[in-house]
Amino acid sequence: MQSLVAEQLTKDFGEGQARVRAVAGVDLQVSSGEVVLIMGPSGSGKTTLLFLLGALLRPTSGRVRVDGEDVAAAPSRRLPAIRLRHFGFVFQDFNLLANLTARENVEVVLNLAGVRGVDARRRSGRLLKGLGLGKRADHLPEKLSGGEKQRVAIARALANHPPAILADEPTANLDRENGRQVARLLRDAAHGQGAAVVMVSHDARVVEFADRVLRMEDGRITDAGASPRGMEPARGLPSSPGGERMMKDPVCGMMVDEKSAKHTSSHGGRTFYFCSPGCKRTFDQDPPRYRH
Amino acid sequence: MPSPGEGRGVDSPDPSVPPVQAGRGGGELMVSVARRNLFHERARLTLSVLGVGFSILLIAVLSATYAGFERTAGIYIDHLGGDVVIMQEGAQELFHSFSVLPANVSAQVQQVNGVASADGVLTRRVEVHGGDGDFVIAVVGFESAGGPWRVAQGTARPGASGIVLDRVAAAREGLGVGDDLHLLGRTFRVVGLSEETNVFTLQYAFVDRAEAEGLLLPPDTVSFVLARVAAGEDPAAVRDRINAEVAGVTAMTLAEFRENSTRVILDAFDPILAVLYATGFLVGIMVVGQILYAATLEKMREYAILRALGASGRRVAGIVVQQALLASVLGFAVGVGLSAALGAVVYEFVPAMPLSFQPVSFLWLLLAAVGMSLIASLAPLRRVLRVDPATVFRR
Repeated sequence: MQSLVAEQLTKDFGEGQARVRAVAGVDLQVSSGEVVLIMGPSGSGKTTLLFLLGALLRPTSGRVRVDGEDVAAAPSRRLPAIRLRHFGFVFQDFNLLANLTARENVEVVLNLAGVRGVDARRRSGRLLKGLGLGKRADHLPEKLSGGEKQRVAIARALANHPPAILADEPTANLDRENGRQVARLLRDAAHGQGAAVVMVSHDARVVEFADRVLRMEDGRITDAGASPRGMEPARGLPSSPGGERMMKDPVCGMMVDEKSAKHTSSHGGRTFYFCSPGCKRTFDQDPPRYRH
Repeated sequence: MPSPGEGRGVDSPDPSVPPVQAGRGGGELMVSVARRNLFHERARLTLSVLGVGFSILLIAVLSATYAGFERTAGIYIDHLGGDVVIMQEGAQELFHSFSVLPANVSAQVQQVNGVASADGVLTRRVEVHGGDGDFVIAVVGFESAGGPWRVAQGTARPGASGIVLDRVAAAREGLGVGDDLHLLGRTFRVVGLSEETNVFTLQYAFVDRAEAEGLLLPPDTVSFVLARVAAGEDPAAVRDRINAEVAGVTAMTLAEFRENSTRVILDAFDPILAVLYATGFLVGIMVVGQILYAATLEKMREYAILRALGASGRRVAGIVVQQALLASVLGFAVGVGLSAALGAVVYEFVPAMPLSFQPVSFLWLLLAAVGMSLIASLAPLRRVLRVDPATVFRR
C-alpha cells in the first residue's frame, strides 16, 4: 500500500528572472513499511522536497497525498494537525526541547495529539525502553549523548504512530556505530510499524538500510528506484543501476557517479569525485586528510 | 543491565494505550515548557519578576498616596461631628475658600426647624514659631465640635493656653508635648499630639475656641458653623431650610462639604498621578516585554520545533502567555511585599507621606500586573506566531 505519494511536485522560490526552481516535477511513491533514501549534492533540492512532503512548505504545483489525504491542498490552519497525525520528523540536530526530559520530549507530541496523563507516560516510557533508553528517560537532553538524543527524537517521531516518517540527515552528527543504530531503528520503524520512511542523507553508511535509493540533482530525481541490495559493488563500492561506477566522495562519504560527476580533483596521481563544490573545496584545502 | 524489554527496538503499536485522536490536542506539558523555560534562566526570571514587582510597587505607592490624600483630606471633616456645614455665602470647601461669618449666625441656625445644635468653629492658617523654626499650620478654635479625635500623645482637650499639634508637624519641627509654640503674639504649650490631622502639605493644630476668638479672626466672627440635626431629620432637608431662612450663608451637608473639599485637593493631583500611573505601567511593560522578547527569541527554534511537530500557533503562543502570566503573578507578589515593607518604613520615617493601602486596590494591582504582562507579550507573540516551522531543518 502506498502511504506517501508525490505527484509532479514543483517548488519555485522567487519570481521573474530571480525565480529558482528548487524541486521540479518530482513523482514519488513510498509504500508502507518502505525506507526510501534520497541522496544528492547540496542544493539539489532534497531538503525542500522533504519540506513539501511534510506539509512544512506549500508546493508551487503538484500534490502530496499521505494515507489518501491531499496535504498540499489543505488550508494552512489544518497543517499543524496534519503534521501531527501523518508525520514523524527526525532532524540532524535532534531538535529536542532543552528543558524537558527525554520522556517529556516524547510526551509532548502525545499531549498535542490528545493523549495525556498516565497513557502518555506509559506510551513514552514504552517507546524509550524499546529504544534502549529506559534508564535515561528522566534525563535532560544536555545529559544525553548524540546517539541517545537521536533515539529520543525517533521515539518522538514514532509516538503518534504516523504513517510517514521524514528524516533529514539523521546520522550526520553521529559516529559510525550510532549512525548505523539510528538508521537501523528507522528501518525497524518502517518494517515494524508499517511507516513510510523518507530519509535524506549524504551518509553512504545508511545505504544498506534503505529499500530504495533515489538520487536527486537540480530539483529532479535523476536516478529512481535503485535497490541497494541489487547494486553490484565495483572496487568495493556499489554501482548505479545503469552500471556506471560509483565513487565515494572522500569528504562526506556520498556515492558519486564517476561519469556524470561535475566536481573532481586530482591528487597524488588519483582522481577524487565530489558531490558538491563545497566538498571539493574542503578536500582541496587539505588533501592528505581525506586520502584513505 | 537493560531491564526486560529494554532495547528491543521499534515494535508494532502498543495496543494497551488508546489511539491518538489528533485535532483535540491538549497541552499539559505546554505548561511545563513555559514554566521550565522561565525558571531555567534564574537571572532573567529574577529581572523579570523584579521588573513587574517594582512597577507594582510604584503603582501601589501612587495608589496608596492617592488614597492617603483622599483619606486625610476628608478625615478632619469626617470627624467634625456635625451634619450640616454653614459657610459664608459662596464658599464651598475647607481648604481654599475663605469664610467669615458673624458669630450670631450660630444662634440663627439654631432657630431653624430640625437643627438640634449649632457650634461656630474658627480656623485660619497662621505662621508659628517653635522648635526648629517657623512654619505654617491651620489652627482650629473649637468648642465641642471640630476638635481632634485621636491623639498619639497627651490630651485632646487643649485648655487654657494649650494647643494640640499634629504629630507629623511636631516630628518635622522637633516639637513634643511640653514645648512652646508662638503664634500671632501668643504663646501656647503643646499638650497633645494629634493623629490623622496631616493633609499633605497642611497640618492642623487645635486650641479652645475661647483662646481663638479675637486671635484667629476679628472678634465676634467664626469661620463656619456646624449644625447637628434633630433625630429623624434629613440633613438635606435641614440644609435647604437653612439656605432659605438664614441670609448670607451657604449650607451644605457634611457629605457635600467633604466631596467639595477633597475634590479640590485631589483634582490637583489627578493629572500628576495619572501620568505616574501610566509611567509605572509602561515601565513594567517595557521591562517584562524586553525580557520576554529576549527569552522568546532565544527559544525561537524550540517554538519552530513544536510547530513542525504539529503544535498549533495558538498552543505555541500559549507558552509565551503562560510565561508572561507566571512572571506577572510572581512580580505581583514581590510588588505587594515591597509595598508592605515600604509602607512600614514610610510610616516610621516619613510620616508626612500619607500612604493608605486599600485591600481592594491590590485586586486592581493584580489586574495591572496581568495586564502589563499580557501587553508585554504582544511583541513576542507576534514573532512566535510567525515562526516558520521549516527553520528547524536549517542548520
